[in-house]
Amino acid sequence: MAAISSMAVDKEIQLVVFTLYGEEFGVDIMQVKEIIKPQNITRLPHAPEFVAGVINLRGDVIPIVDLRKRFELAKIENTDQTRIIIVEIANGQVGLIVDSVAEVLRIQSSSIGAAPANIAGLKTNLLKGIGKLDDRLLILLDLEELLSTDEKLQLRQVVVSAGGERDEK
Amino acid sequence: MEFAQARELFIAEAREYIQTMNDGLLKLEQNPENQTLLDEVFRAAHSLKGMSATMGYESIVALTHEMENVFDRLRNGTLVLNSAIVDVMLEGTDKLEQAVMSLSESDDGATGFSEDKYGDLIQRLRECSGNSEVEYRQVQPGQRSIPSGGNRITLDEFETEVARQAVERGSSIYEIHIVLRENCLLKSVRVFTVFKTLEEMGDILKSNPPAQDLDEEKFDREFGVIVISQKSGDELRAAIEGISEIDSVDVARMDPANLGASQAQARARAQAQGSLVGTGKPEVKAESKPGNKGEAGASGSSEKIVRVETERLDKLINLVGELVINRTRVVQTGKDSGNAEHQSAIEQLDRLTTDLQNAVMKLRMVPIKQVFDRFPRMIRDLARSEGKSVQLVMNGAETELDRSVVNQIGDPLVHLIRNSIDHGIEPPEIRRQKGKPEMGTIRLEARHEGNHVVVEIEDDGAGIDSAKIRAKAAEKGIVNRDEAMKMSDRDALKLIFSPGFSTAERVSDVSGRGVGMDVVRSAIEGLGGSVDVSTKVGAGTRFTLQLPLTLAIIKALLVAVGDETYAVPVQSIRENLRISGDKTKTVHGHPVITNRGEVLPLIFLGEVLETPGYSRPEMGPNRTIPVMVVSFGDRRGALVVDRILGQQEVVIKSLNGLTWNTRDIAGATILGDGKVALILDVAAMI
Repeated sequence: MAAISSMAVDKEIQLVVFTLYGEEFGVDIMQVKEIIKPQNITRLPHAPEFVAGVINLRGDVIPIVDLRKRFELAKIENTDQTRIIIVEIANGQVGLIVDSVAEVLRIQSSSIGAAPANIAGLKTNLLKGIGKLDDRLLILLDLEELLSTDEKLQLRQVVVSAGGERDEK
Repeated sequence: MEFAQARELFIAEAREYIQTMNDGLLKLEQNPENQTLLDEVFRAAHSLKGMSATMGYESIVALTHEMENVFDRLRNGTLVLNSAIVDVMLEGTDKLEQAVMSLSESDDGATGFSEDKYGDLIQRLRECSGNSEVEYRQVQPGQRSIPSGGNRITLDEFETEVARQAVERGSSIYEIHIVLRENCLLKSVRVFTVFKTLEEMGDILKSNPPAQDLDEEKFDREFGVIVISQKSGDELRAAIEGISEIDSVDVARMDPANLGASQAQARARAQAQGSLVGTGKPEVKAESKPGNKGEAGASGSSEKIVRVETERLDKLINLVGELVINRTRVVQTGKDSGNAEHQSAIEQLDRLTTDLQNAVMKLRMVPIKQVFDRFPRMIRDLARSEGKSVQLVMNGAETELDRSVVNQIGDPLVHLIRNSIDHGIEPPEIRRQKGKPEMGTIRLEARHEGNHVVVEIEDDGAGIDSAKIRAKAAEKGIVNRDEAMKMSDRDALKLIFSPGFSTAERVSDVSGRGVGMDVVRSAIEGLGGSVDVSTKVGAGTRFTLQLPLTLAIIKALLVAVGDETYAVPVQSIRENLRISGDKTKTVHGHPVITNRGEVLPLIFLGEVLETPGYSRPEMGPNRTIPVMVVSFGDRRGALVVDRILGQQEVVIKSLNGLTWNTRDIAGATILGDGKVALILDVAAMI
């Protein structure tokens, strides 16, 4: 599938790559504030399922989202790889629980293609695009959208479609 | 000073001057002969004019100039104040305020003089002062006008600084322009005499031409001197006029705010000169005594005040908040260490932190005066537009509150006052018939009471008729007719705070739309305060607001619910009880307890908060469970928890970054062990 080049200018973007359910995801490093090990999370009553609670980050109270729950994946125990990525979005800071943080890599914006249109029932505005690096596929999430909607998401679908792309290649 | 900074400073000081003029005018309306006030408002206008001239704000200069003229005539008795004049002048202060406010966006409004914006007002102001442009320059017979724009003396930085300090110590600065007689011989001797005379009365800062040239008679007939003196301008003038061979003397008091050279300043000086010449009364008006606040505080206030950006203050307060939390941990570990010296050092640290915390909390406190200040004007305008006669009595304006509380009570208070004027105070004829004084009184009072600030708004108007309230409430369907009739008077009165309620026969401009009281109540309760009302038909109504002193740090009771720890603000807790199973009853299937004659439903926090794995405790006769009786306004409830852990001061942290439901939760705090504990929103639960 032809990549739709984003803008006229080909910029270099740095991505923080994390894994979830064996899939690789990327977040623009400009949005990432820090990466911390899991810590005590205080439950927030009445919040959606995927909101794990809040933590104390050097005196600030930050909400934490369990991405696995967000994508309705089975819950697993934290491993020593599990991390919380603190990102900055419009309303403030949020932490994302991920399976592991792999690396920070550079990618050209020209290597980022639009998300495939055929993700069943899933609004593509939740994805910023798919990055291709060698034979890796990085799913770039639109964090604002992801965290502002209650809508149920199924990661399986995302994976299948992206994987479908992979197979296609 | 960078222009942006200068502008900020200008805006702040201009506001103070405008406020002084505003307040002064209102007071003068009741008391037109008060010389101190008249002098004060004149000085304010004069200072504002000078400042604006330095900044190049033409339109403000033009407007202030006209107002200054009127004030001048008022203060020297050639014009008597009446309500019509007050009206026009208040229009002036309003326009000034608008102009100053627009400055924070752009300079355009103030730098360009707009005939349509101000022309009409200026015309009316001129009619008041009886001045036209030409008349203004008129000089009394016998006094020659002094050439302006000629030998303006300018001060360098050092001299300006010296002058400013002198003003702070209570002196005034005068620019004295002296013209010697035409055929005067031995000019230098005259100059010497003048100098000697002036030095007996103050200090000479500078002369133009410089002393050297004066000595060598390198001048024509005129020279100027800048003098710092505690004497009055008239005294100085009289002293110099007494010297022989002096043709004319002009003494102009300088404004420390516009020392230093500038074209605009020269212009302003010229105008100021002209005005003083124009009034030229031989009588020495009793000037303010030296060291008087009025003179020293040319910028409007002689208190020692430092301006600090709120951002910096907030950072400081945050840090202290962190320190307070950390302190608890340190104290804890200190106790466990067993080392005596360690412990005493920690105790010391504990005391210091408490002191620091108290001091910092005071930083957030501002006097409620800032809010009260706008009321006299508002009441006057409202009363006039309603055709009523109202006076305002204010007490306790210096009472201090947390900054954020002060910011938020303005609107509720405005609404209550409007209600008072609209529905409370009767028109003069009716009041007369009732045997009341024609002028209604609204009393506004603020005072500290324990951990709260109490604000009362009381009027001597018609009072609230609870019968009317009941009827209206039933009509609006807020309660059904039976309930309405059965309610106690107190409860009926509280109905006015219900959403959608209004008893106004007609919806006036001001109030009566049925949204006001409800909004007032939620605003105050949102701050953690409460509203109460008491009234007597025919006599008047009193609203009592209770507000917390501070919002950022509160005392809370930590409780355990299942595995979770929550903080309950102590302010909401009325009592802590231990209830045994046999004391509970069931009403409509719901467990309740009786406490002080009231029936309270039991609220199981574990259920409300959906604590995982929670189940109601067994309620047998032999087991007691902890129950907290909490209240909000006049609602009461009984919260059931698993354990009460202890009382603690907590720093409230905001929960931002959340777009999801935070029902029942008012905020968060960080406990001594670094964990987050959520603060419960008691009001939402009962």
